[in-house]
This record gives sequence, C-alpha cells and structure tokens, in this order.
Amino acid sequence: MKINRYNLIGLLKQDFFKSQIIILCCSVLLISTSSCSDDFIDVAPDDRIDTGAFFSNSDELVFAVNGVYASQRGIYGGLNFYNLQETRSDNVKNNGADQKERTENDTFEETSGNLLLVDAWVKNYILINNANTILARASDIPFDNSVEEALINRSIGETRFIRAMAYFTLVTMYGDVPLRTEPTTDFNDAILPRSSVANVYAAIVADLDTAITLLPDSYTGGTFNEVGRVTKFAAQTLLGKVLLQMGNKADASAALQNVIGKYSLLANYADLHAAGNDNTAESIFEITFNPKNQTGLGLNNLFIPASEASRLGIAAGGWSGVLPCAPSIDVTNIYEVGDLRAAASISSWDNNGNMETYISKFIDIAAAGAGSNINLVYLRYADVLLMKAEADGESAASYELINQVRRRAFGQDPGTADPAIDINAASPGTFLEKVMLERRREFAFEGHRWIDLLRLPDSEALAIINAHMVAEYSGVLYGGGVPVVQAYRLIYPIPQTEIDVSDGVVTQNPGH
Amino acid sequence: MKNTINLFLCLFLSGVLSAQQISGNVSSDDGPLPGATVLVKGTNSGTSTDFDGNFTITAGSDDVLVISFVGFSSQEVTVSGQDQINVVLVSSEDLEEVVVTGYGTQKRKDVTGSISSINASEIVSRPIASVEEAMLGMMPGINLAQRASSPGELSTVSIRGLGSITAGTQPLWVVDGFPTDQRNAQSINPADIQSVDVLKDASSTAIYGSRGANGVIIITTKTGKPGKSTLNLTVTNGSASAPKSGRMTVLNSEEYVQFHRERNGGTIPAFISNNWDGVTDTDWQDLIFRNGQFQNYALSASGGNEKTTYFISGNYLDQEGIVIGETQKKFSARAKVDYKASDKVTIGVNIAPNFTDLGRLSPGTDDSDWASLYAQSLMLAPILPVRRADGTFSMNSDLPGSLPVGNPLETMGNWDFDESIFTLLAGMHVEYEIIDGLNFRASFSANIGTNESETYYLPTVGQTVPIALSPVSSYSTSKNQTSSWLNENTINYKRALGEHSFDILGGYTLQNSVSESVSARTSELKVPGIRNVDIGNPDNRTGSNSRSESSLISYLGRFNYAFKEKYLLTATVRTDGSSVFGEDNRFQTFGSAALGWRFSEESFFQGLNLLNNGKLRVSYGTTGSNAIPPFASRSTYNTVQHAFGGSAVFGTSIGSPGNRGLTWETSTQLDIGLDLDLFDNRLNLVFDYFNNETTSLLLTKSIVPSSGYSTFLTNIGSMRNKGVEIALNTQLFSTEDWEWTVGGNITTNDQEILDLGGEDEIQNFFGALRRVVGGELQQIRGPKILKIARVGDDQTGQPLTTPGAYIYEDVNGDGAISNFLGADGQLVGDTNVDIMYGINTNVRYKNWELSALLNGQSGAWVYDFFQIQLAAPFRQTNLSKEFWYDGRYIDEANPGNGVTPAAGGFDTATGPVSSAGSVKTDYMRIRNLTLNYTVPSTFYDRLGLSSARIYTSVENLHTFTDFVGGNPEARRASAGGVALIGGSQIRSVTDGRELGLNSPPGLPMPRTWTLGINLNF
Repeated sequence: MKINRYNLIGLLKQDFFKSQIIILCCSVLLISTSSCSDDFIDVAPDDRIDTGAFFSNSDELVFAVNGVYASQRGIYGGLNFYNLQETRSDNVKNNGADQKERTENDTFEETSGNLLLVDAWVKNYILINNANTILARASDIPFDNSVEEALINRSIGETRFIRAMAYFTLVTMYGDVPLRTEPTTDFNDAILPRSSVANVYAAIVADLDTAITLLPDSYTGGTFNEVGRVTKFAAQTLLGKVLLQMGNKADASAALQNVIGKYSLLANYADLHAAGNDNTAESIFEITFNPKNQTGLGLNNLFIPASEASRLGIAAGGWSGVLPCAPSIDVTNIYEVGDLRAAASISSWDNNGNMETYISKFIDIAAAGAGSNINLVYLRYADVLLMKAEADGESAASYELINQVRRRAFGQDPGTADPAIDINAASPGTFLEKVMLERRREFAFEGHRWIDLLRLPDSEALAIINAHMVAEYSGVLYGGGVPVVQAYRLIYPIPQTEIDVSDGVVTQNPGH
Repeated sequence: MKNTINLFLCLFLSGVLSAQQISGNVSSDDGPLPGATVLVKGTNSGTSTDFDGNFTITAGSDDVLVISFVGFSSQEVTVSGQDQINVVLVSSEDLEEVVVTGYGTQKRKDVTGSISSINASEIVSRPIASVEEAMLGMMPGINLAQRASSPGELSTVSIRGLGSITAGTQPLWVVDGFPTDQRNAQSINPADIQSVDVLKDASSTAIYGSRGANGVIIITTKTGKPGKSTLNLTVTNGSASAPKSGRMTVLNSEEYVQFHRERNGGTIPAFISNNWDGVTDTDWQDLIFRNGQFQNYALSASGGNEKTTYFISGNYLDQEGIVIGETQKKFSARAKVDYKASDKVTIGVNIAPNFTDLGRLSPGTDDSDWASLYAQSLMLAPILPVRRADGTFSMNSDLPGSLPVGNPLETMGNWDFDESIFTLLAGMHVEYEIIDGLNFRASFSANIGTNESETYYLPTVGQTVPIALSPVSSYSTSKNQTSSWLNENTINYKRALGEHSFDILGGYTLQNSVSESVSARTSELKVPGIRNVDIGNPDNRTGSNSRSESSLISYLGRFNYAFKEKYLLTATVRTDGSSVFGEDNRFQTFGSAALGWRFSEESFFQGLNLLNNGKLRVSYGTTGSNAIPPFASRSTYNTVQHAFGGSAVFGTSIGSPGNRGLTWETSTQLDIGLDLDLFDNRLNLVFDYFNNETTSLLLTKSIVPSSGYSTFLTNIGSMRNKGVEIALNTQLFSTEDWEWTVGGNITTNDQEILDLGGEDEIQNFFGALRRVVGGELQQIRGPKILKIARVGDDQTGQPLTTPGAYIYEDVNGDGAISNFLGADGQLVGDTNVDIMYGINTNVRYKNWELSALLNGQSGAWVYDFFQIQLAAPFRQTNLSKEFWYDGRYIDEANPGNGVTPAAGGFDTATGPVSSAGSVKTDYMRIRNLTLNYTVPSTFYDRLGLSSARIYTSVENLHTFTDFVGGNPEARRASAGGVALIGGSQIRSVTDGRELGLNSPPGLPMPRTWTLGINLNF
C-alpha cells in the first residue's frame, strides 16, 4: 500500500487495521471500568458517621434522639438562655459591671445584634434541624419486630415533644418565626420567611397531640428505656402550658386534667433541686445534667460567689467578681414568714462587710470540675396545679389547687387544709394576681417568670417591669430618669444575621 | 613520526588491498560500549563490540561503517584506508534536550508550554539534603521559602504566586510518574535525580487536570544505560553554623539597662536594680547554637546491556542542625531495573524505600514553635544569669512584670521530640509496542508513607506565654500512615509523515489513597524516662484515631502536532472524577490548547546566523485544585454525651453540614512565551507572560441561622496572579582552558483578589490581616506612623504626647487616633512577593571550576508580630537592637533616625498593630559558592577510576537585607497558640500558609561549609 504523504486518512486507515484489536481491547477495558467509576469515587467515610448511611435501624434513631436531648442541655444549661428568660424578668438583676450585652437584655435595651439573642436563636434552630432530620428519616427505618416498631414510634413522640418545646421557646421570645418542619438540605435555598404566631402555635399543638398518642406513661429503666425520657404526661403538661399561653384556657384545663393525680408534691420543697435527686414523684420533665458523663451543670456556678463556694467547700468554685445574676430587691420580699421556699431559693453572703443575696436554689456541695449533679426541672406537678387553677379561673376548687402548693411550701401536708396558710377569695388582690404571686414564689429562678408575665395584659406586664427597673436601677445604672420600657420590648428583636443573610425575606419585629 | 608511518602504511595498504581488516573501539562518555553494532553500510556484513568495546571487521576502503547502539545517535565513518577506527557515540538524549511533560517526554524545541528544568549536573556538586534546595533560585516562577531552617523541615513552595485562599497552594509533586506529596519528594536522595521539570502553564499542567492549578513538579530519577557498568561514590563532609551576622542582634546588659533607664525617666527601674548584679551579661543565643556536622555518603551503580538496564543506589545522610539537639538522619535506597523481554515488550520495576529520623529538644510541631529554643533565647533578658544562686534555671519571671518566658537550657533538658518517617515508592510497568510508533504502557505502583512521632517532656514551670509549657510531665505518641496505589494505562502513537508529525496520547488512570492515624497520650509520668502511656496517671490517658480515603478516576488525552517542525500545536484534555467533591459535582473536564511557531525555521531567518532557535508560544486552558479534606462535601454526625439520671447514653447530632455541590477551584491560565537561542547558542532567553485567574474559590459562606447551620463551604470568589518570567543563560566565552557562563532569572507577580463571594473583605488574625477585594491576598492594616515626635510638634489626640513618641496619621480627622480596627486603620503593607530572582555563574579554568548562586526577592511585607508585640519594650524581654535601640530618639540633641521611637515612646494601645510592625522582607542571599577540581586522569589511571572530582562548597554565605526579624524568607506555617493584640491575650488563628506574620522569628539560615569527593569507577 502506497502512502500518500499528505493523505492522513489513508495513514489512519492503515494503522487502524493493524491496531484495531488493541484499540478494541482498550475500549472494552475503558467501558467496563467506566461503568463502575461512579462506585470507585463514591468513598464513604468509615471513621465518622455519614449522614447518608445513618438511621439504618431503630438503635441509631434512639442515638439521634439522645442527641436532641443533649441539645436541650446546651440551651437550658447556659447563662445566655438564662439571661434571656429569668434575668429579663423581675426576679433577677444583672449589674452594670457585667458584659454589656447581658446587661442590655435585663434593661430592655438589647439590639438586634445582641449575641445572646443570636445564640438562643441558633441553638434552638440547630435542635429543630436535628429534630426535623430525625422525623424525616424515622418513618423509613425498617423494623423486624414490634419492640423495634414501638421504639421508632416512641422516638417520633419524644422528638416531636422536644421540637414543640423549642418552638414554644422561640414563639414566646421572638413572636413570628420561620416555621421549619423539614431538614435543611439545599443551602442555596434555605431562606424561609416568618410564620405567624398562630401558625407556629398550631404546629406546636399538632406536635404535642401526636406525641401524646405515641409516648408511654412511664419508663422501666435500662438501656433505651431510661427514666427521664419524655412521657405522655409530660406532653400533656406542656400542651396545657402552651394552650394557657395561647389564652385557650378551656383546652388547657382539659389537657392538664389528664395529669392530675398522676404525680404528687414532694414533702420537702428543698428536695426538688437537691443534688442527685432526679426524676422525683413531683417531676414531670427535667433537663438532665450529670458530672459522671462530663455533662454536669455549670450554670449554677455563676450564681454562687466564689468566696461563698469556697466557704461551702464546693470544689467547682463560683463566680469571682460582680455576679451576673442575683436576686432582685423585689423578689427577696415576696415570701411570707414561714415560707420554706425563701431559704431554699435565696441566701445571703458577706461581700466585704455588706450582706448581699445570691441564688442558692441549685447547690451541689460535691460539684467539681465536671459540674453539678443537678437537673433543671422544666415541668413539675406544682406547675400543673397552679396552671390548672389559672386556667379554670377563680373557684373554691382552684383555691384548693393553689393551697396544696402553699401548704407544702410551709412544710405541711398538701392535702390537709390549714387556715393559717390557705388563701381564698377574700385574700388581697385579684385571683390572677394571687396565682401569679404564688407562681413567682414557687418557681423563682426556674425560668418560668418571664413567660408568666407575658400572659398578663401588656399594660400590667409593663407596669411590673417598669417598677422593677426603677427599683433596681435608679441611681445604679441611671440617675433619676430610668428609661420606660415600651410594649414592643415584650418580644425580642429577630437576630440581625438572620435578616441580613435572608436579604430581608425575614423581617424585623416592629419597634426594634 | 609514528603517525607519519601509519599514514604511509594506510596509503600503501589501501592501494594494494581492496578489502582490509579494520579494528577499533566504540565508547561513550562513560566508557566503552560493549554490544554496539558495527555494520558495513548497504550490506549485511557486521559485527558487535566485545566487553571492552573493541571490534574487528573487514571492509573496503570506500566502505562506510555504521556504528549504532540503543540510546545513542548512530555514527557513520568512511574507512578511507584507516585500519584503526575509534568512535565515541553521543547519547541521543544529550543531542537534544528532552523535557518530561507528564505521561511522556518531548523535545525541548517542540514544547509549546512553559516548563523549567534542572538536571543532574546542576545538583550533584552541592551539599544539599533535598530536591527543594536544588531548585531554589534556579528556575523562574518558583518560590521556595524555607520557613524553618531546621533539618528536615519542608519548604513552602508555590508556582507563579498563591492562587487560592483555602484550597492549598502546593504544586503537585510527581515522582517517577507517581503523583505524591512534598514529603515524598523531599525524601529522595538528590544524587538519584536525573531531572526536575516544573510545569507552569495550563498547556503543560492540564494533563494533570484537577491537581494542576498550582503547577506540577516532576522528578525523574536516573535510569541505567546500556554499556559498561559504572560505580559512583560521593562523600561529602562539612559543618553548619549560625554566623553572628545572620543572627538577630539583641541588646547586651549595658544596652538593656540603658534602654530601661530611659524608659523609666532616667532612673534604673526596680526590676533591674533588685535583680541584676551589675556584671551578668548572658548571650542566650550563644547557648543554643552550635556547629552542626554534615555527612553525606551516596553510592550508585548503573549499567546494563541491550536487554537489561539497572540503576541501584544507596544514601546515608547525617545532618545536625545549628540548634543543639536538632538532627536528621536519612537512609535511602533505590533499585530500578528495565528488562526488554522481546522486541515488543519491556517491563520495568522501581523500588525506593526511605527512612528519615528527625530529632529536637523542644516542641516539634509548627504551632508550638513559641516554645522553641530560638524564641526563648531571643526573649530572655541579658541581665539574667543562666542559673539562679540556688542552681535552678533563671527565667524572665525573675524580673517582675516581664513576659514569663522559659529558659532554653531548661527546655532542652526537659523536652525530647522524635519523628520517624518511612516512605516507600514502588512500582512496575510494562510497555508493549503494538506497531512501530504505537505503544501501550500500563503501570501499577504504590506509595506508602508512615510517620511516627513521639514527644516526651518533663515538667517545665515558669513559661505561661506566649505558649504555656506544661507544668506536668507528659508522653504522647502518634502514628500516621498513608497508603495509595495508582494504576495508569496509556497508549501513545508517534508518527512522522513527511512534514507532519504527530504524538497522540490517551490514558485511563485510577488512584486511591487511604490515610490513617492513631495517637495516645498520658501525663503525670510516674517513672521518668519510660515511653509507655501506661506509665502516667490512668485518668489522663487518652487515645484517638482517624481514617480518611479518597479516590480519583481520570481519562486523559493529548495531541501534539507539528508541521514542518515549525508550526506546533498541543491540545490536552483530562476528565477527573474525584471522591472528595460533592456527589453532584464529582466529574469535571479540564483542557488546554497551545500553539507554537518556531519562526527561526522560516526562510527569512535562515540567513541569519545569530539566531539558532526562536519560538513563540501561546497557551490557554483550565486546570483545577482539589486540595480539600476528603470528606468536606459530606454531612456527618458528631457524637455527643448525654445522661438520663445516672445512666449515660450515647448520642449523635448533625456535625459538618457538607455540601453536595462542592467542586474544584478552577484556574484559567494564559501564557505567552518566547524562546530565543542566539549567537551560536551562547545566549538563551526564555520569556513568559502569565495571567492566571482562579475562580470558584473554596470559601465559607453564611447561611440563615434558622437553617440549623451558620456557614458552609462552597465555591465562590475569584483571584488573579499575573506577571512575567525571564530566564537568561549566556556563555560569555568558551575556550579549551576558559569557560564562563552566567544565568539569571526574574519573576514578577501582580496579585489581586477579584471577588470574595460578595463580601468586601475577610478578616484574618483579628483584623490585623485582611483579604480585601482589589488588594493582594493578604494585607496588613493599622494606623500609619508619620514621624517621631520632636519637641514642639503638635501631638494633640495622639496616644502619647511626649517627645520621641509616634505621631500617627489621623485619617478621618476626628482629632483622635483609633486602633487598627477603627477609622484610622489603613493598608500598611501586603505580603505578596512582587519580584523574585536568581543569578548563577560558573567559571572554569582548565580543571578548576567555580560556581556561585544568588537569589532574592522584594515587595513582600510581613507583620513583625514578634518585635512589636512580644519582644517589645513593655514586655521587659530582650529587644532587637536594630528595631528598638539603634537610632532611637533620646532627646532633642540626640533625635535619632526619625523612625525609632524613644524608649518610652511606644504606646501599648495603638502601637502593637500599626505601620511600625509592618516591615519589608526584601533580601538577596549568596546561596551557594562551589569550587570544583576535576582530577586529571594521570593521577588515578592505575586505580581503575574513570573520573574523580574534589569540591568544596559553602551554602548561605551571606544575606543582604534590612529585615531585622530573623530569616526574611521565613513564613509561619501557622500562627497557632496564643496571640497578644493590644496587650491582651487572645486565641490565635491556625490558618496561615501565606499568613504574613513573623511569629516567632525564623532561625538563621545555616552557613554550611563542606568538602566532597566524587569518584567514578
């Protein structure tokens, strides 16, 4: 075959025939390998948990649910959240020497850039995204038997309760918030506008209604059945609390009625927060802290002055410097003579010759570096009784509910009437004022006071707050002109980063 | 007389005989060539040479003998009556420079891309421990910064500027075809290296696709050649020191006391008067530096026949650092064998194990260099004795109010850090010549690297900053192993057809890499000296492990076409699929095209004798950078602890958000080049203009917090590096006795951040360093100092209002000076190297040869955190004499140089981050001087030697620079640990390949004198 030197086609043809077998072989090799190339480069990590491969069985689901419980610990165990809930109320004072942003939340001068607000927002939404992921994946988990099926259903119930609790926190703090019920998967399409308060509440109620159908009355203990997980009664109590906050007193009362008689008041009020006294007969739902597992409570260290911690022999120590949280002047005066709750909640310490008060409700003498062995009780039977009374309105039955709580507080049997302790329609103040005062005494420093105030008409809530501001800060932070807190301050500003990153799709609360 | 007789005889015999017996010898530069073919042209009559290269053949007087041998250019000799014909064959490689292009080689004249090369002859005569040192200053466009001069430390290498913010700026290192890492490349015995080829533009790097964006450095080791076996022995011995001229100059006691007297308003402060005996004057640097011995032994053998070739080598390097306790020992070996199984099939194997052992007597990791002996020796006050009266080690805390820095002698007694590195690169390949010009090659190779490190220390009390030394003893051990395998299958077709020539390459490759690490640690050791984690407090015993894996699948192709050897075209394509990216974006195709025009081949240049070669090149294309952690695209769960009551439970929560869409950074590169060889090849010029734009930079982007995440890693932003490179080599003159060559290269780089995904700037190091759109990669920000205040100057609003204090520029005119974060903070320097250069020269007179290498850079600024923050006057540490003492303002009669403030003229609020701390790092260094003597053969004929060479050399003879903060090319790998900004302690950043931070100062570059001998048998 003659090769024309310019005839490239001829050249290629000639070579093609010579080499076609090899090319064919190579082609086969390439085709056969390319079909599995996607597998070759689909390398999953095997030293960490890959989201895609997770949730393959009911055990893994329980682990993820445990993680959501742990997230609650991160929210409720931190000073930031405490500052936004209890310090904001008239129970606790911050002081001007503390970090500016913490003080601002106490004096109603917070801005939308306040890092504590961002922290509360971020942590609750991280929890919600974890919960949404669990709920999105749970129904696809295969099960072999009814035990596993029950575990899956219970896990869904626990998760919906915890998600409801997070949204309840958000809606009471921020008002309208983005209502996310699906996990975030597309980062380029993650922006969601706010939903109305009514819609958020509807979602919370739906979560709790479902949780009630899926959760057990109690737990037997042991692996996967640890006492301290959410029960049906916890869901019913929270539902009652939510409905009460919504102003739906009739439904609140009905929900709470399911819990009446299922728990009892502890004889000794101080035992409620004693170290290691977890999940008592009065306790309905607690945020668990335990130093054995490096999950101890550290928040209470900030309540105790260092010198006092040293005097008491608490190895974990206390706060050296001016306390970031201390009882307000007002709260130290609410207790009657003989009310054991006063001494259980507030103590005095010697600050270089001046006797000052500190929050002594959560003290673990044995606390060391890993924190205190104290659970934060979020729902307890005394709350059920007082909420039920509030929901039902003024009646003899309601006064009896209140008086059960009062009698225990004075060291008496809750079921035995005692005219020296009991209150009734003739006692001073309106019924609502009496309920609120009792709640304040009972739950001081437990993180309920701020949303209790929000259940009052705005004008009443503002009156209490402004009186507290004047009593606490006149002459301390301000001269005579303590700024008057406006109604818009009853909800917090939406964190500015949410608004900025969403390019304004998420809007700010009016006034802020 | 003898010649005349021979000539006569030849003439006589040729006249008489038509055919004659001819004997001769065939040899090469390396000696006789056994097995060479000697053929009478046009006949089948021929013979081959014997073991000594001798042959005899019968041929007529007019016959032409064709002498050929594989790997050498054939020669033709007309008999014309000679009876003795000796031929020296020239290696075909020597005839025309060949460059390694990745998956193949190409003649230099045909290359259309930008490739710089160095070869063995430029490496062997210097006392270098690694390939990095061989490359330094020799090639344009390549920046090698020796960030630490301790033995075994890796340099920071970048090609044509830093083109990425987070995804890595390291070039790809390819060793004998295996894409590996810098540690592997560094471990190679420099004497084994045949060539280093640096691929710099898209035309040359696109064949490496997703790993080519930062350039590719190809290291090719030597291969045996057919012919007589050679044995090569090199022995180098020497000594390294830290000359005073290279050290940081600090104050002696008299100066220290004087300075603090001035700072204290004229009286000696109590911390001195209470603690100084008036005599003590300790030179702490003298206590840590030493003369370190350097020994290197390299032995290699190579040779073979037409069937089999081999190269075998062994190397032992024993290097002491200039700081007491720093050592490097390296053992390496290589065996490379190629076997031609048939006319069509060649198989080969290459095995190179390497063992390196590194030792230090101080913390050995980058981020704790604050506890380095050097940093301590610079900061301890000269008025302190080595030991206190009670025999314990003194330290700065003995001077109340001083920064509590520990004593280097105590540190070196308490610390022991040891690192053992084993690397193995092993592979085999088979080549099959399907038809003439069409070759199939398959290779399978593995790269295994293990790194074991051990840190042992005894309690060291007293140093709490800049980094705390542990007050309890501790032992930790860790082991990392990376195993990767590579399978490459390529098919290559080369064909010349008249005026057309083609070189077509296609390939399919697979690579997989697994990294595992295990570590264990304990503290409070009960029995000192025992290296076992059981020996400490059981409660403090911890262990951890990690594992990651990545895979890469690639399809590649390259098409080289030349028409009339004048018009050149290269087109390259590579499709990579990588496991490290999001599942939506794992495959991407990269490609480039280049044109070359060898205009010197055009007829209108043919008459011009001055132009030997002229080529114009243009290339354009894209490459990628995949240097992110293997699982960054994946969302993962973290483990969390929880307990219900007393029952601990295991929990999980969402950790890294991942990003399914995560993909490569892409670099789009334009290169325009000109190659000129002039005046009988005595002047070679290579010019390149480059413009590289990196897009889809990997940066974190904010996401609405209500999503459950705050940021995620994504591809946003872009930046650009552009500049020119010029390399010039001239042979000024060349005679039999004299030869003088001069070479030089210079590179400029103009760097700019084009986009940061919508953000104006990214703050780094608390905002003292920033990445700003429109600026260079890293900017230093702070208030700008206008002058040193004199009596009568308006100092209203200035932090200090005494004479001798800084006067800062009030940018916003508000009558007050803000700190660096405020309105008066401005750009006071940026860290990009604008210009770098290298100069080398070589003078030969007869057997003597003197060569010199200089290199330098300019345009890069650094934030000298050390001088301005840590060893600053208010810390009461020792101080840089040049920075703080010489030329300071004393009074109006002694106003100093106008730059250095008075002893008390430095304010701690504004001063620590201001233009005073932003300093230039320009330098020029005499990197190497070598004198070579080639021993005449008369001396060693009887010893069986074929050549012998003796050389003496000095590395880092001197550095010219105004930079006073240690080694000017030092770049911190990270700035971890604790930082001090404005006098308060803050946790520092850990990122920092290009962080413009001098913290702590780099060790002086060791001045190493060596004497070596090289023998060839």
